[in-house]
Amino acid sequence: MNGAQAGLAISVFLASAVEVVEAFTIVLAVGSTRHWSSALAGVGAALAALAVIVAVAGPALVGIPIDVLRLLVGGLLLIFGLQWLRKAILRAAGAKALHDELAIFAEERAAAALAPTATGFDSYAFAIAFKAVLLEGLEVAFIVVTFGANRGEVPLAAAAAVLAVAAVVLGGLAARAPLARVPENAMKFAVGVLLTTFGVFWSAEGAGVAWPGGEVALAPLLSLILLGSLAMVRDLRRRQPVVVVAA
Amino acid sequence: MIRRCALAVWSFVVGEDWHVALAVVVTLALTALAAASGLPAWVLPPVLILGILYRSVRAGNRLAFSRAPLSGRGRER
Repeated sequence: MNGAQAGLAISVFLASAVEVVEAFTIVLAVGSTRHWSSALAGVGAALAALAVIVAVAGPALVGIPIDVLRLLVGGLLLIFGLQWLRKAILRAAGAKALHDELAIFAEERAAAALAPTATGFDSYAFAIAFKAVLLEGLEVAFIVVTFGANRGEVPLAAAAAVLAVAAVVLGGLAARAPLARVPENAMKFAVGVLLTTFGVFWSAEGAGVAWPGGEVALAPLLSLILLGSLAMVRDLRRRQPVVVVAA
Repeated sequence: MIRRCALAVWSFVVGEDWHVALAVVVTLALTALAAASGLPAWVLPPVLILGILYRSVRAGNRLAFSRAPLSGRGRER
């Protein structure tokens, strides 16, 4: 495995792990509060829907010329990566509340307890689990398809995502609790930097850029975006209003 | 139904700050022009993207503290 493949696998693994942690928390909350088999049926239905989406989108992308693909998909990945990085920088600077799995778990359990109860199949548990897995899974599918198609490494990207799902689910089953100790906010920051780096690299290639050194340019590009992002966190912290508490 | 799907796709791809998406499109257009003109176009995207990101986080920071100065900055998923 070369450096670019390793970068791709790490990016997909981290991004997938973050999304699966979020979906796991919600499924655990509705499953434990309401009805496990209905929640798991929702998970299964969402996974089937995701499989159909990937099966349709994947081959459709393969037919597009590589430069057009890199420009379009790299551009989309760049916009998507900048969204992640923007939120991560704002969270790290204290301008946005940190993602808290325990709080989300408590909130979902409270909402599930208030919803009307059902005998037998629980449509509430099914719907909430379906929605959580579909929405978080769509982000994973988007990342797998874009990374895989751009590099011609769909199997590697898919394997990294499957590994992330297995790691989170096994970790969650072992803990039997929301995975609150996963450093989710730091992981989101790292994923934002990685998605933005690959997005810049591929979309620029699609626009006709020849990077000096080819894929070797990924390392300095990654360093530049990481250092730039850390500098932004520092700058935002410095700019925040100072609260003076009267004695 | 179509409107809801379109809104979901917009929210998924473009997110909270549509200026970022627009600026990325302009950056890629400028990069393509520079590359077609034989200029060292690889310099442009990293610099412009960091500029776009900085503008967006500054705007997000201002918004966060103008809406909720001390607390309740809204937990978000």
